[in-house]
Amino acid sequence: MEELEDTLSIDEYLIDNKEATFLLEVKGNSMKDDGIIAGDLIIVERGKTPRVNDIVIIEENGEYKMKHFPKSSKKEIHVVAVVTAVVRKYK
Amino acid sequence: MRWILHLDGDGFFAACEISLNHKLKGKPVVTGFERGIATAMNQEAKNLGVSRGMPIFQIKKLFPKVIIVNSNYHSYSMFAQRMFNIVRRYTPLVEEYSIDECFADLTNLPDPIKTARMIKADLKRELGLVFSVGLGPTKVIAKVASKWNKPDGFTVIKFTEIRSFLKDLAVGKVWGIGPATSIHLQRMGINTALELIDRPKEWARANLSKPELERWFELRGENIYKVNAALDDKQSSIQTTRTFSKTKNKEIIFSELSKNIEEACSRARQQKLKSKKVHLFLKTQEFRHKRAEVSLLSPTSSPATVLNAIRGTLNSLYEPDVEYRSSGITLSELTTSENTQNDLFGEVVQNDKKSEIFDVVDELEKRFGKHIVGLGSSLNASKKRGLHAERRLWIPCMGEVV
Repeated sequence: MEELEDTLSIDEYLIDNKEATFLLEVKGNSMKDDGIIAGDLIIVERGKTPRVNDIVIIEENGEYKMKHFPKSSKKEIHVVAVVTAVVRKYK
Repeated sequence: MRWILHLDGDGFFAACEISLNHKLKGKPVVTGFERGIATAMNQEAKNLGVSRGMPIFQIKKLFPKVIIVNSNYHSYSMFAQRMFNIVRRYTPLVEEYSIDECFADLTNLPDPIKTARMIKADLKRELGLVFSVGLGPTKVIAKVASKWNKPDGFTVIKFTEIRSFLKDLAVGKVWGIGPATSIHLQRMGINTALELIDRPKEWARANLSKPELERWFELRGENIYKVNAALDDKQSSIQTTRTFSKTKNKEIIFSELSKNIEEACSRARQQKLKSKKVHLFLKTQEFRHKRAEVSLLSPTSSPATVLNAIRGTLNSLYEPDVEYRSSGITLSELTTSENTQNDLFGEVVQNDKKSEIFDVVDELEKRFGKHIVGLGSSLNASKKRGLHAERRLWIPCMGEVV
């Protein structure tokens, strides 16, 4: 007995590690040049090791901010999560 | 000897709230506003003097700085499911004991203590939640261990160390020994758990009720209670996936799948499990998933048998001009090939499964109200869903980012 299926699952396309994945609502346009604008929903993965230039979430003055993970930094950056995808609905 | 893991969420509901709302971090947080009593709280609130069950109006009056929030059971159960799944990365032998607790049998893993540390670290890093971890030769001892050093504890009790841990432990603090039993035992001169296990077997058989006698065995490091993993559940499975450099070559893909199978089967054998169903998938370069499910004639953990069973299926899945980038195998409908050692202890061990289940339900209702027990039945419902049935993935929202 077998069952076959050929599909694209949006969940699996967007998400690697289900357990560590969370959403954030984008309120500002600081990442406009990277194609992330206010109103978007971003998918982030907690606990993922960021690579240089990855878009990461950091906490600053009690607020979440997006930032490119730098090659080097004078002060230690505490990365909350790594942005892995962006979702935008037009209708 | 067995290695049983017990995980216990520290101020679980409050911790979930803080994980989803970083503005609460560092502040005293209490959940249960809608019920009028504190259902959980973080360490900051505990330090002020808030305890579980305290009326909300009293907390407001005594500790005006405390932040009191409504309980959001849907997100707590989402976190719980994620916690169980993280533990299942290491073993399918996981018992979902309550919304913030689980047992796992790590006996057949190469390094149980290291595995327990890795699980704790994963939970912290990926969920932002802190658990107290206990590891011991029986479920009751694992519970003693997880309670030992709360919050954020990590306690291992080896068989030879049991006595020193039980020396000063009041017998009423043992899992499953309630106030009435505790008084009954005290009348017989037993105040600590050590005093209980130091009584000889003949005495124990003559003087203890069945559940007490079971605890007597468990506290001595002799297993009575098994980790009740729902192995036939869809959730319990062994998965392996591999990403490879993109290819159209069927032989390469087949060999990747066979590596998947070997690894999955080796993990199954390590834990003395056999599978009745194989699920395989291929992911294309365009992220299309091609999947298939094959039922096995009889439970197996032999890679050759599995490989033979899927060969034909792979032929029908494979399309010649498509580039593939990863493959995966899931072994599900697991059964244990291990014989239970129950008969060692005679009639005691005729473990009344039903009563144990009801104990769990009772404990859940006692702790979280009727609300939570509903979760159990919804789990059942999800069990009945077939492969094609819709399964929603819920993703918690952490708030806003500027």
